[in-house]
Order: sequence, then structure tokens, then C-alpha cells
Amino acid sequence: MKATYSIGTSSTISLSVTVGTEGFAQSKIYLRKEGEKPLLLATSASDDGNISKQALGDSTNLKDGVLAIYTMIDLSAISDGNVAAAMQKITATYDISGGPSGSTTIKMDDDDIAKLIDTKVATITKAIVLI
Amino acid sequence: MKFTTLVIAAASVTLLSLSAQAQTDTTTIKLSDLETPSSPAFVLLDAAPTSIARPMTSKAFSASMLSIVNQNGGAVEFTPYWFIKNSKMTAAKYYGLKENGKQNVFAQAKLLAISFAMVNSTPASSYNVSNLSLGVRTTLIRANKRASTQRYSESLIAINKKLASFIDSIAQDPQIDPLSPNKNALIAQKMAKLIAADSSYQQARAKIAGVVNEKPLFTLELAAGYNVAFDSTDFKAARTARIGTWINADYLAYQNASTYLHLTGLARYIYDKNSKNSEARYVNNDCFDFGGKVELEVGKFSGGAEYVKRLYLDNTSQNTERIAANIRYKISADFYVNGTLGNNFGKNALLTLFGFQWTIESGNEKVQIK
Repeated sequence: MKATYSIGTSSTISLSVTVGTEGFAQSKIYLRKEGEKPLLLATSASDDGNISKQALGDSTNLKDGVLAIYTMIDLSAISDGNVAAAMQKITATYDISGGPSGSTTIKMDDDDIAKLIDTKVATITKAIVLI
Repeated sequence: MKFTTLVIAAASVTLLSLSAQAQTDTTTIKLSDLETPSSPAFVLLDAAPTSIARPMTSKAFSASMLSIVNQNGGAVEFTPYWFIKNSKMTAAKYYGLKENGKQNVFAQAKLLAISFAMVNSTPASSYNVSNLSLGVRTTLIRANKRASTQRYSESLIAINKKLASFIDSIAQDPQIDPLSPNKNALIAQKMAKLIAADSSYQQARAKIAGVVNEKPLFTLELAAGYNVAFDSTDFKAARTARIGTWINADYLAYQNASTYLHLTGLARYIYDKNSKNSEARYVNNDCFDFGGKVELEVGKFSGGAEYVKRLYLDNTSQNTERIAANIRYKISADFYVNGTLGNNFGKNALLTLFGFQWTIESGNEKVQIK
């Protein structure tokens, strides 16, 4: 489910990503704008998939864009009998700040995750529309 | 009897429901999750095929069945960890293995498993005794070989790079719009294609899984159990029959290809109130168990011998021992046969068990649970 965030007119927007999983995870934040190639803004630094608070840019540059936050999770080390439970336990939260409404925490929704249980891989895609 | 049967049935249904909630994607459990009894709830009752269970990683949910001379029953075991979300969990915290090759040997302690068991026994005195038992176990220490943690580290670095590149492929695919309601279906297709086409990623995953699933060099498991016995069908007849706590330590003494030699030690304390005095009243008869087991796994075959000495604190004339041999043979990928022969604790306590364990791989291996 998409989320929206008001970024105002002249402020720096920041975002952090926190992933909860027993698997290996990598996250990336892309800025998508109509008619433009997706622009990579930030990447996780380790296998936890977390991205610490990052300044994504000025609101004038982000205006009318969509933040697409992807987290890909590998559960290959989880035993077969526990994979479904591990998939069910996955969490992701996104803390965005800098807009006129201040800091907001957005959580992953159930329809944000694509799961391949037999392959033991999942991808979370969170879209935040910047207005 | 009816009461205890109802209780264990209710516990089973409750746990199956919990399992179903945690596995809403499949709504099934696999028959392969049905295991031969080794949960603490069974061990406390001296009803398990082996009194010295080699520590193993617990599953989200498993069920056990038992049929043994003069005894029959069942047990369910579940791991609460798998039913609780933790937004701060990471792979490094879960496995205890890190990208730098270091290891936290206490990482598996959080996988505390809780088991419930019921065993009906018909002792020589000919009346039925129904036992309900609650057990807990956890792996306090799990240490892998240094070469394994190094292999894990190298493979993890490769996997992280691949995941990052897969994300780029998904993000830059013009067909996948993150605002589209069918994005997940497209992403799932894309993931499947990317993974299938990348042999180096698959190799890295196989190495990681190999390290995580390989037998650890040393494992220390802590377990405890509480047993209530019913001498009649009256609920008020419930009595605390046993409370026990024990540790199992396993050392992988030898490994070569598909051959493993395990040495497992046991130390156990049991508060026991199953003996009657001259006035036919139950009295305490606490004891210590000390024992060891040697188990050899060679390909499809595994066999072991165990010895446990039971030393009573007050009535040393009752000191007893258990000697048993266990065998297990993997006839095919989905069919096992196992057996136990020996002498259980007590006099003339012949212990025999012969059973099968199987998994049906024809697509019917899953049992609908909702």
C-alpha cells in the first residue's frame, strides 16, 4: 500500500529504514519521477538491510517524486520447516522527516511484500508519494 | 483417562491453530515435521526411545507419536520464537554467525522449545496411569568449526552483492511500477528469473545453508520438565509426579564425508514422587542421572548405544540403570525405520521400540490444518 508524505517547499527530507528478519537483507532507496530513470539515493551498509537516517535531498528536487524503497531478503539458511514462519515475521519500518508535518513512521503493509517461499526469498517494496 | 486425552487433544488443536496462523501462506504442516519423540516432556517420563537426546534445532511446530511396551502417547512441541515478531532481528543475531567470520555461540538460546506430552502406561500393578508432562529445552551453546564460519563469511559477502544487484534489476525494470497493485506478482516473477539464471548466487546460498545445517562441533542443551500423573479418571486425583532438569552436551568427535561420530553426555536431577511407602502413600524419591552415549552416523545408517546410571538420594537400594541401543536407517529420502532395544530404568524393564517415519513426496506430503 502506498504512503504519502508532505515535503513542503524548502526543507531537507531524511529517511531511515529498519528491517526485522532472520534472513540476509539488502535495501535500496530509489527516487522515481515521471519520464525519468529511477535515481538511486541510498543503500544499506550491511546484511541487516537497515539504512540509517539519510538526507535524501531538498524538497524542491524531490517534489512530485515517489520514493521506492526495496528490501530483498534471503532466507536460504532457515530450515524448510521454519521458512513460512520466518516469512510471516518479517517487518520493515520507515522513518521519514523534514517535511512540515515533522517525523512520521510508516510501516510495511501486508501487500508490500512478494514472497517466494519455496525459493526462500522475499522482496518488500514500499512506495512513499512525496507531495 | 478421558480428561487427559481431552487436555492433550485441546493442546494439540491450539498449537496447530497457532502454527496455522504463523504459516498462513501454506495453511499446512508437513508430515516430515512429525518426528520420533525426543522432547523433554517425553524424556522426563522415561518414555523416549533415547534418554540422551542429541541437541537439535527446534522447529516452529512438531508432533511426536509413541508406541512402546506397556506405554503409548503423543507429544507436541513448538517454539514461541517463531510466533513473535521482532523488528530488531537480524541474520547475525539469529545465527550467531557474522560477516567477519566471528561467532556468537549463545545465539540459539532464544529458540526455547515448549513441549506437551501425554503417556498412558500400564505398570505391573495393572491399573492405568495417565501422565501429562510439560517440557522446555534450549540450546545454550552451539559452536561451529572455524573453517565453517569462514566459509559462511565468504558466501555471505557474495549473497549481499547479489541481493543488491537484484534490487537494481527490479527497480530499473520499466514493467514494475511500485505504485501498481500487481507489483508483487511481477516482482515475484522477476525474482524467480533472476535467481534461476544466477548459478553463483545459488552456489553461495548452498554454502550458507550447508554451514548453518551442518552438525556443530559442540552443543550444550538445557532442558526441564514437569509431570502430573492421574491414577484414576478423577481430575482431583492429579498429583505432581516428577520435576526434572538436565543438560546434554554433544561433541562431534569425528567427521569425514558422510560419517559422523557423536559423543553425548547427560547430567539430570529428578524430583520424583512415584514411589509408595508401606501405607500406600506417595513419597519423595529424588535421584540424579548420569550417562553417556556414542552414536555413529554412516550414510543412511545411524546407530548408538547409551548408558544412564540413576542414583537415588535416600533409597540407594533402588539405584538402577538404563542400557539401550538405538538404530535408524534411511531406506529412501522419505522413509525411515528405527528401533530401540535395551533395559529401561527399574527391574525387568524391557525396552523395545520399532517404528517408521516417513514423508510422502507425491504432493500429498502436506496435511491441511485449516
